[in-house]
Amino acid sequence: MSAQSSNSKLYSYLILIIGLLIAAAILYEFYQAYTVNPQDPWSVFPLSRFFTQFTNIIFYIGAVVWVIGTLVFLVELAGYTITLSGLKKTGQGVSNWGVLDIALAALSAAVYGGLLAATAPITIVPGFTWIRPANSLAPLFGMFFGIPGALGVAFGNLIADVLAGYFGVGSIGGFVGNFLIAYIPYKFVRDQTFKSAVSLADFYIWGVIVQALVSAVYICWWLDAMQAVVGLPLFVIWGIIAPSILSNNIVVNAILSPILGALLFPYVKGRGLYWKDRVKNLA
Amino acid sequence: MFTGLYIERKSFMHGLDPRSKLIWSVLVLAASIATQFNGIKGIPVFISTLMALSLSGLGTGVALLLIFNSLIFFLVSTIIWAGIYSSQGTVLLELGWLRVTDVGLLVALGKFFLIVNPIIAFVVFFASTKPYHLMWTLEKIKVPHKLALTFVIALSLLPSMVRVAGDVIDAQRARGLSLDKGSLVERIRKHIPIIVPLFSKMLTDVWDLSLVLATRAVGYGKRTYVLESNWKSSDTIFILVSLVFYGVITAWGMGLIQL
Repeated sequence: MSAQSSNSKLYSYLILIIGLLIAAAILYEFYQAYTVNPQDPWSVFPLSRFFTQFTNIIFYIGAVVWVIGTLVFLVELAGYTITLSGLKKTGQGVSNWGVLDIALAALSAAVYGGLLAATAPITIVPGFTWIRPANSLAPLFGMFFGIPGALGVAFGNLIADVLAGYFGVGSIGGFVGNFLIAYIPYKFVRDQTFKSAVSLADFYIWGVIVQALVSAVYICWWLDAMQAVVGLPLFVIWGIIAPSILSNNIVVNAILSPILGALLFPYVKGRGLYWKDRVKNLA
Repeated sequence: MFTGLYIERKSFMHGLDPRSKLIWSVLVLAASIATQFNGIKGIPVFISTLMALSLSGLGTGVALLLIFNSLIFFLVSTIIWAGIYSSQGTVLLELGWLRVTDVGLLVALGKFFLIVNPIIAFVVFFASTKPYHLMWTLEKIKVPHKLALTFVIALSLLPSMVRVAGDVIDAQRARGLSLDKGSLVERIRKHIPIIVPLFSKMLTDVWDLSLVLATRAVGYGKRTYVLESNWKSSDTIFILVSLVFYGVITAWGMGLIQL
C-alpha cells in the first residue's frame, strides 16, 4: 500500500516537473525564434509552424472539439453533466442558481475582466509576444466556484472585449473558449486544494496543458470557420493567435495558478463558497 | 456604481428603444460583412457608425479610444491584406518587402471596416443603453433571466473593479512593488500581491451582493419591470431608414445591384 502511495507521489512529481519543463521550453523557444529571425519570429516558432503545417488536420480536429465543447457548455448550463454512464444532474444549471450563484458568476466576471483590463501584459519578447497574468485566475474560478465561476470567466472575457473595443463575432468563440478554460480543471481535477502532489499533477495535466490545447483549438477553429465574417487571414489565426493562446495559457497557469490556488483555497473554503460545499450532489 | 459602460446623455441615440439600437448594430455587422472585399463600399457604413457615435454624444474620450484602436487595426489590416493581394492589381506603393496594390488596399480597407464598424456600433449600443433597459432587452430576446442579470451586474461592476484594481496596483507600487523589473518569472510572481487583495475583496462582496439580490427577491416568480422601454415612431423611422440604407449597401457589396 505504501509502495503504491510512494509510486503515485513519484508519478505526480514527474508530471509536475514535465508541466514546468513544457512552460520553460515554450519560453526558450520564444527567445530562440526571436534570435533566429527577428523580422518574422512567428515563422520559425515551433508551435506556429506546427499549427500552420497541419492546419487541415487541426481544422477537422477543431470541428470535433468545437462540437463537443459547445455541447458540454449547453448541457452544463442546463444543469446536467456528461459521465460515462450518461447524463447526470449537477444542481448547478442556471435554472438552479440561487442569489449566491448569480453573485459569484457576476463578481468572477467583474474581477476577471477588471484584471484583464487593469494589468498590462508582460512582454516576453518586445513586439513578438506577451503573457497576461490575469489569465491565471480563469482555471481557479472554475475549480473554486464550479459552473457559476466558469460562466463568470466567459462573461469577464466578453465584457473585457467590449470595454477594450474588440467586441465582434470572434468574441462568441472566445466566450465558450474561456468557459472551457475554467470548466476543464473544475471537471477533471479531483483534489482541488493544491496541497498535495496528486492535486498539483492533476492540475498540470487538466488545468495547464489540456485546457490550453482545447481553448486554443476551440477559439481558432471558430475564427477559421467564421473567417468570412471575422476578417482574419488563416496564417494569422493558426500561425499567430493559436500559438499565442496556447503558450500564454500554459506559461501563466503553470507558474502563477498553483501558487494562487494554494493561497486562496483556504479563504474560499472558509467562507463557505467552495462549490463542493454549496452544491448538493444530485447524481 | 451600477452604471457600467452606460454614459448618461440626452441624445438621439439615448432616446431610442434598445431593441431598435440592437437591430441597427446587427445591420451594421451584416453590411460590413457584405462589403469586406471592397473598402470603397464600406465607407458609407463607417461614416454611418461615426454619425451614430456623434448622435449619441459620447464625447471625445470614447471617440479617441475608438479612433486609436481603429488606427492599429488599419495598420495591421493594411500590412496583412495588402501583402496577401500583392500580386493582383496595379502597384501603388513599394516599401521594402511591403507591396501595396489597388486591389490589396481595397481588401485591406474592407477588412478594416469589417472589424471596426461592429465595434463602434456595439460601443454606441452599450454606452447609450441603461443597464436596466439592457436587461429588459436581453429578456425580450429570450435570454434566461438569471443569465441576463449576471451579465448586466458584471457589466455594471466592471468599471469599478478596474478602478479598484488600479488602486491596489498604486498601493502596492507605493510599498515598493515594481511590476516591470526582474526576470519573467519574477514579474509574473509580482502579480500575486495584486490578485490576492482583489480576490479577497471579491469574497466579501459576494455575500453583500447576494444579500442585495435576495432582498430584491431575485429568482422568485416572474420578473416585471416598472420602467419598460416604449417603441416610438422615431424607432420605426430609424429602423426603416437603417433597413433601406444598409439593405442597399449590403446588396451593393454582394454585387446584386450596381450604383
